[in-house]
Amino acid sequence: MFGIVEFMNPFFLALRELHYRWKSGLVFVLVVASVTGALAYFSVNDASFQKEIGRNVRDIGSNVVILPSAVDQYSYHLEGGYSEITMDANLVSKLIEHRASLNHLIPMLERRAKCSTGDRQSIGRVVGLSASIAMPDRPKAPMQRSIPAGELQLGSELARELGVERDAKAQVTIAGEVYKVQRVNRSSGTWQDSAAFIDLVSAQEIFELPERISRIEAIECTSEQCEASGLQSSVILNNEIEKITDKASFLRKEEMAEARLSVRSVSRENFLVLQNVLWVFLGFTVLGLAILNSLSRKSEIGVLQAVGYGRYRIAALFLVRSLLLAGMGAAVGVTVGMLVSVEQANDLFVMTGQKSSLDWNAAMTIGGVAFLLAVLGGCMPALWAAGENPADLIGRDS
Amino acid sequence: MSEQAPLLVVNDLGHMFSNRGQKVRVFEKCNFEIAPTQFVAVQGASGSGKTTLLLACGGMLEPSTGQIRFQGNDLFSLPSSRRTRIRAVSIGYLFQTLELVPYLDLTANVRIATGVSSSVANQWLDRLGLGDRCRSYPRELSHGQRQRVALARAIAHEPALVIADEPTGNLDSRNSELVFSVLKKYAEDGGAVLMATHETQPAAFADFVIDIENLDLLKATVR
Repeated sequence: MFGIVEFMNPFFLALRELHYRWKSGLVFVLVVASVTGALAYFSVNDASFQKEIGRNVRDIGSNVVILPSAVDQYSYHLEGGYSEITMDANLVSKLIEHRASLNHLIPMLERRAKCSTGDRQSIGRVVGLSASIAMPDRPKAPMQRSIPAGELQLGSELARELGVERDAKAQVTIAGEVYKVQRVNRSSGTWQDSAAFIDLVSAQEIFELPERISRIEAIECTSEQCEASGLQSSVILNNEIEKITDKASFLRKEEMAEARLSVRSVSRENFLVLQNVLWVFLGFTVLGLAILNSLSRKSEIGVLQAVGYGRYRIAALFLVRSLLLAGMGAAVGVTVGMLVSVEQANDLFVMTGQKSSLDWNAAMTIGGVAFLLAVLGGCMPALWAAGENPADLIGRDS
Repeated sequence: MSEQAPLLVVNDLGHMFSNRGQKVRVFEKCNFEIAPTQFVAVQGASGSGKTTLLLACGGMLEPSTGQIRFQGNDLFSLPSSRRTRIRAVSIGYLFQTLELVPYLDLTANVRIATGVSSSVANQWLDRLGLGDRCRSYPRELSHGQRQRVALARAIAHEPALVIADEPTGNLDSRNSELVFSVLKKYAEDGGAVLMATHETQPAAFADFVIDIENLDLLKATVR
């Protein structure tokens, strides 16, 4: 079957041994496949979960508001989060330029103004806003899409005041400009229910406030810096904004921000614990099975030494075995684990599940660690045993 | 006694081991030499240290005291890699427990000895009456058959010294004679044989006998 020279090399001896003891080999492959499969499953699952959590917390809304520094916060809150003081719109560019720890920046300009439709009219909060702007190094799907010029979104209560039905075609006039109602928003239980939303440039034109904005809403991205520096998020943001401008101050929606941080960190830590447990289990499994194999074959190591096999040749025999089995187990486990996880993502993660994909980095890492463990588990005990006197090994299988 | 240069020289060899904190002496002051073409038997009661002596002579067990010189080299002052090389090329060892590799067929079991081709392995198996079982595995053989495979493995690479630990222990008289004749012929053809035996009359086939329980007498008679 094999040539004279090759037959007795460690690779072919390992194949012969595996063929003979296929059941123990199968157990090794299955155990490694199970653990690596679980790791691969949770790696993909974790990424999908983080995406889903990210989307959900994003949809909660902005948790940071940047206001002109001249705004008196007492009056601002007294007015229900409203102020007519404005600031320069290029603050958005400055925040981006300085890579502030923010994302999804939405500059807004608002005024209370008369809104009318046919024979009905009412005062509403008219808010001009642009699409949310992502930081260049933190690209995300937009949290707020742009509103086309000449169109308008109506808050549910303002729509009721103006007699605009939810799905009806209607037009609303604001400061002499006519806007087509794009949609009537569902009730949010906030001031937004009595607002009308148009695009920022249109608002700047009708209120004659070019390049001015009332505020910037955003989401803070300070969790990594908080972990690294031990500082609170508000301190980090305050320091950053102070360095950029003295004409703005920020307001943090504490409960919302803390809830967002908490959800993210709890989910991340939860997965981290699970993954660490699986890594340790993978280590014990591959090392344990490989060491057990070497110990249970002490006699054989002794015989191979007796007939002249050197320690490295003996170690190679065990190394080949461990690598073949760990390689097969990891390949099967990682493939199955990832495919199952991607398949399940559609059901588990309603909003982002379809974006779930195979994680090749995780696959390489898991495979690489299994490979290294197999090398250690296969080589070390065999090298140790091969360094003993043959007489101390023969008849000493554990 | 042979007049050729000695192959194996054993000087003041002794061995002891620890058992539950107590030192147990196996043997001491063992002295002898073996030259090519010599057939030497080691005799002694069960537990007297025959296997220990043979393992030490085969470079597989470091003795507590004394020196073993093989082909002029002090075996246990050599690095283990050199000792391994000597075992690979110049020593063939038949273990009392046989120690065949269970996942290799008989031919492959013989071939794990260094430099043995399939045809040579099969020739030895055939000579030992196992020519029709070359593709069998050790588990498919009787103990006596396995014993002959172990002998083939010890001898097929034509080592300078064959060490056999009770090679006829479980054989019938016909197979015992076959094994003796093979070992005797091996010695006559230039090899040396060191064999532990329970035979009552080893002097009948051996050039000299080491009675491990009377090593002083050995010293007086052999050296």
